[in-house]
Amino acid sequence: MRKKINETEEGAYLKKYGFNDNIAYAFKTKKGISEEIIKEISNIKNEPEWMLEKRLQAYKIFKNKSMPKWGPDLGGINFNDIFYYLKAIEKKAASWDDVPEEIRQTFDKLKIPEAERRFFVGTETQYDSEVIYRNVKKELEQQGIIFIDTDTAVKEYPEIIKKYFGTVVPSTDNKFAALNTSVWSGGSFVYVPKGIKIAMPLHAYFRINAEKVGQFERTLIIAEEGSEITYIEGCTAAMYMYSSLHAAVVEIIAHKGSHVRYATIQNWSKNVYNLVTKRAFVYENAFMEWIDGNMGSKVNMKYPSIYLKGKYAKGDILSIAIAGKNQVQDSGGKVLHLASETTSKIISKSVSRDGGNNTYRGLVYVGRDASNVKSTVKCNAIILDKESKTNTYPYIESYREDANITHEATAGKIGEEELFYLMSRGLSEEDAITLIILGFIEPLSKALPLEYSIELKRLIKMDMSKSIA
Amino acid sequence: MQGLYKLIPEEREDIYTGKYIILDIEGIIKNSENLEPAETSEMIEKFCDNLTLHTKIEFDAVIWDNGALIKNINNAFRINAWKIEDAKDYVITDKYVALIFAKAKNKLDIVIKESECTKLNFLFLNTNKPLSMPLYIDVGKKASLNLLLWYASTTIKNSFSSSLTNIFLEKDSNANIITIHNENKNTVVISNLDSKIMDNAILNLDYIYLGGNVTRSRNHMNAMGKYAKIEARETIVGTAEQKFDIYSLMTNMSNYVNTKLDTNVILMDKSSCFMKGFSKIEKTATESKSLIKENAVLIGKNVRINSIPSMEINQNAVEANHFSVISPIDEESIFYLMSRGISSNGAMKLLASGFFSKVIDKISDIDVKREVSSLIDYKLSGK
Repeated sequence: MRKKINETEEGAYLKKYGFNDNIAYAFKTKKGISEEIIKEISNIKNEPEWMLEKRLQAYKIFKNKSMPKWGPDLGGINFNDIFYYLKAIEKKAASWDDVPEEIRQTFDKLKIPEAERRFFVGTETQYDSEVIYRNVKKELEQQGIIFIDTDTAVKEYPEIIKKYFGTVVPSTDNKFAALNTSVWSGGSFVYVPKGIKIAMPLHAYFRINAEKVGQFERTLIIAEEGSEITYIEGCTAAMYMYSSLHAAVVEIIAHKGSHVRYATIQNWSKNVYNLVTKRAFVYENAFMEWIDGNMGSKVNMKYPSIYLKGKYAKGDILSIAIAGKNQVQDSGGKVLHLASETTSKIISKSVSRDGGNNTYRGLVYVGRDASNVKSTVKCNAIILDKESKTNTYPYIESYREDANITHEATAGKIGEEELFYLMSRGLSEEDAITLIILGFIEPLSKALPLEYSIELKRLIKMDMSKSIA
Repeated sequence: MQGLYKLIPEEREDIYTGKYIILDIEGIIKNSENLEPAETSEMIEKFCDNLTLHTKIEFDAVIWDNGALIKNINNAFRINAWKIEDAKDYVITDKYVALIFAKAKNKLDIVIKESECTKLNFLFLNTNKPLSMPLYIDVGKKASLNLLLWYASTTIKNSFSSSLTNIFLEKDSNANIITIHNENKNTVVISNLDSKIMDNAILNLDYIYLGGNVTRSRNHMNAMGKYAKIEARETIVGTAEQKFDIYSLMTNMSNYVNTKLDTNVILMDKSSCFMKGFSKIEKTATESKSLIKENAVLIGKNVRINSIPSMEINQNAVEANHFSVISPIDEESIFYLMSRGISSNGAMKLLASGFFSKVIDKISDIDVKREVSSLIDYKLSGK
């Protein structure tokens, strides 16, 4: 029986990522959300009063905001049946050896410490609600780069947090941004000083271990003038019968001439609602890149946004989604051109299989003050079988007569000629389809560090072979 | 119908809820109820004679809210009393359409019998009394219809002109339908189409939107039979503060069907356009094709364009594509024409009318082609 489970797609995920640890939590709130719970979270974090006020204000907005009337069905979310805060260990570990054995084993299985040693200059690991481990190479600290969890940043850098927190994604933006602001915990705070260029990526890993738990991390990245940074995040979760909720908020401020690249490989288990708000403000001559790989979760709603606020600012969004059985991937990207001579590019690629449902939702907006804007949007969708679906809802709004905007979208099955060619060279149908899919998502794998890219390809190969079989 | 009007929810789009577009159809109907019918048959005839001086098109009938002037007796069409049962053939999803249906007294039935070939030209006039004359078109097996529907207006008060069209193309039939909206600035244009195209039938639709202060179009084209083919072209020229909200849904429902939508827009002055092409491929439509093209050239400094070319694909053995291009007029081409002695305005006009030539070329009737071309040129000259 065990073998049979492992042969299924869920079985493969369960074996690799979906296991759970029976750990004794240091602290957890009661189920549900209320002012008392929010005060309890703030109290245990020993937060300043102004942050508690922000949380309580956001909670009022959360209560008044209705659920989105568009998009996938979110009826499975019961806000009263979720643990909003779970603390796995009493104190953040100073070194990997200080992390409790059970949790360490989890991340060893996920190969996080190994990855950290080999490819990243800084790593942060969040387990349910709290960051349990952080390691930053000394040279980063010497350059004045700050890479800490957002809870610590509230205490150590209150002025910066006060200045930027909630300015890019205000609580009023949507119901889940309000929810995040009221119960947020963990996430990364990155500050890159003027002119500093980080050659290797910073890395964050988010893991949901417990059942019926919500993860609400808050990430804030500030890239000062002329700086450069690459940030990569990965996400997995244990598999349970009941759904979990992940509602993160990511705010990025890319100052004049800076370059920020933010990559996400989302591989949550198929019981997670992933409802994330990601947004970047990009100033003069700066360049923002969102690289967004969506493979996991039950329902994914994620539209990374770029507000081009300074002249010659540039924004690229690469969104790749693979939807399998019982999965809804509702993804895309938004670019708002608010200044002159700004350019943007959105590339969206999706693969639907085994009855999976992919939707591209995007926006290109050109404001009255943004002259000579150029924007390109490309959406390509592959549907592997008759049970799967794909939808495209792009939205272009322009108030300028000199804007150049193009959008193109194609959808269909894998080309029979391509398949025939590969099979005539001795490949099986399964291998040929996998090869075509890997080629199709190449822009994503190319954008990642080599070892990450190999892992991604292996993951997709595994996913595809199950689907085709 | 009044009941249905109340049942259909309010438009959720920002442009209506945010009052960017105000459509007070209910108010226009109420105000027009006490108005004396301003036009008599003689006045209409005079209007037509005047129009005939400029065009070679011979109209079979001129129709307005309170009457009709039949110029050529033809068994293929008849004006009948509109009854509530007629609404069952029409899928009404639009609040305003339900309201206009509630006001309708007469309808125009066009029935082309099996294997017959017919050409019909109609002029619809929107007078002080708003025009609400639903059209029911039934083209029989292997029959063919060439139809021109020209909407103009003589109203001096706020009014609306509605083209509510129900088309049924039977097996192996074909229809080329050209609809010209050239109403005056006192008119709100409500266009609505519900069409069912059966096996092997071909529907060619041309919508030319030039007039009216606000145009709201909701066109549903359903390729229901195997090998059915629909080709729809929308031509829009906006000047002054005209607003266009054009939604076209093409549904592929059967095997091997082919649907195409080509929307071309030029916006000048403070005009705006919402072009919403929507392609839906049902699970039953294997080996079908769908293409949506949206192309807009912006000339005015205060124009607004929204392009939303969407698709919903529920079948993998298909080819579905859409493209949308929004751009200013090509500066290099203007420079080239100016270097050949053409003025800046002349060069712009030449390029703009060239932009529509691919659409105009598809019109088979030479008189209609000439008329459409001159109407567009007239509009582009800013008059």
